[in-house]
Amino acid sequence: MASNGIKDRVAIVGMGCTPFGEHWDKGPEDLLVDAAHEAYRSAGVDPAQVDAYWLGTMASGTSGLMLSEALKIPYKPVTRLENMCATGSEAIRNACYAVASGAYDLVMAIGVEKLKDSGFSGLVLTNPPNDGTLSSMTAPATFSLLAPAYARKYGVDEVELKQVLARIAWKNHKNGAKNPKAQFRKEVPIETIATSPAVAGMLGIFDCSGVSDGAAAAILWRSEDAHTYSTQPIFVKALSFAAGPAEGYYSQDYDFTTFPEVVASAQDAYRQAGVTDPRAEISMAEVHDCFTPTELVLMEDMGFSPRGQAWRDVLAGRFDGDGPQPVNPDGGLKSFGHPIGASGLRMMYEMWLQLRGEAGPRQIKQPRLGMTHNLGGAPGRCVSFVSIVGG
Amino acid sequence: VCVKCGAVDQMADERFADTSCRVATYTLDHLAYSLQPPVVAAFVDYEGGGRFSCELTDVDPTAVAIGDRLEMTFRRLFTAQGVHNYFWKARPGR
Repeated sequence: MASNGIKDRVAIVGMGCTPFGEHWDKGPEDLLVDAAHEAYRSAGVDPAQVDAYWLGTMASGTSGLMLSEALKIPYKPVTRLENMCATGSEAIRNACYAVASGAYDLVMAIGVEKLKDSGFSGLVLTNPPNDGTLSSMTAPATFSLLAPAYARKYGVDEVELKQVLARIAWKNHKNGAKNPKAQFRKEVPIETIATSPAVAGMLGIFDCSGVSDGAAAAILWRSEDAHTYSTQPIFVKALSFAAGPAEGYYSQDYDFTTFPEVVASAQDAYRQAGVTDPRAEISMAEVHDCFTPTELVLMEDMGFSPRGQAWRDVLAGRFDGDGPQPVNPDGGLKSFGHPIGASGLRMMYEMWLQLRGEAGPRQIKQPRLGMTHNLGGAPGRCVSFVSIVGG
Repeated sequence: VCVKCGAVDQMADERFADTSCRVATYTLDHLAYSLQPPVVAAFVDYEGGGRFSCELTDVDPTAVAIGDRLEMTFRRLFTAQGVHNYFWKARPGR
């Protein structure tokens, strides 16, 4: 892939994140105000100093007015973005490029979603009008397609694979239990997870991420002056994005055990950041664990595990909070919750805390490079974002 | 546009109604709506190439496996206000 990268040209100097969960007493505007003002305070900046804004929301509002009206931003550029579940990461990516280009000095990337108000437990998508012949699978069903394909390809018994998937959810619940802002702050026994009510294929209710409300925000500044605003900024090493041609929906070459979009975006990010051995060099990662099989496959697509071996690494505890390469130390989508437009920024919020040594009981020892991975769509047809950041 | 070579507008219609296919991967969707719940959803690969995503019918949901041989059948997908919508499903091959 061709990208020049903007390694070390943009710094994050402040962040904010609301608790994720059920906010029946708040609208998306309230959540935006909470996240934005926490970020202003975190960076020690006056709102008047921020030059431009990027707002990510999938379906909780439209246009830049959603933010400018909520924050009462006086006549400044506000861009509204949407890229499925990777929406929040797109806000960061585009805001970073604006700073790197020199167009603005100080900008905010912010994301929000309010999912609980729909009354449905899951995503409700409105497709453009069609002829009614499209196959309709729910989100958990599309990601559950990975499980039998993975079991078949690598000769893993389906009963054993179910234990692997349950362990991923168990780990993310365990991490979330240590996070005061997470939606589900409780450890759950593996047996409870493995025997939870069926949703789709091998997936039970505990294999699915939390449907939630929330917002998160980041303030970005040119790296050379980053210390003006923060004694401990974090630096953007890589930003990559890949939208696929949906080859998996048409071609028998795709076998539902990988996300080619993730492979492409991860390799691009590693090249930008100068990472040659991600298994050794990436200290921690927040990845898109929308459903447990997704996290399993991501470990291989991102090069954390060799092909066909991630299930062994999961069972060995490699990705546990206290393991050699923690994945989703904040609880992930599973336990922190997944308010679509906010999730990419929430992932970055954990990198911000961890790299600054502010992650409390879930602090990772001396992390050097952190990675966020955000995915939208389904196996065979998706978009994938990868960032790498460091202190 | 061809997903492999990028050729534009050089497609030809191909008939798959009588082409045998196999399960590439599948799931039981307990949440999706169907006249015949739970939805047994699958990606099917046709002999000679081509892939399609559809619902399976006339199957035991607990016995579906990757590689099962299937054939296409024209069935009712939805009914709304007395109007039936028919399209293709796949069923075990005879």
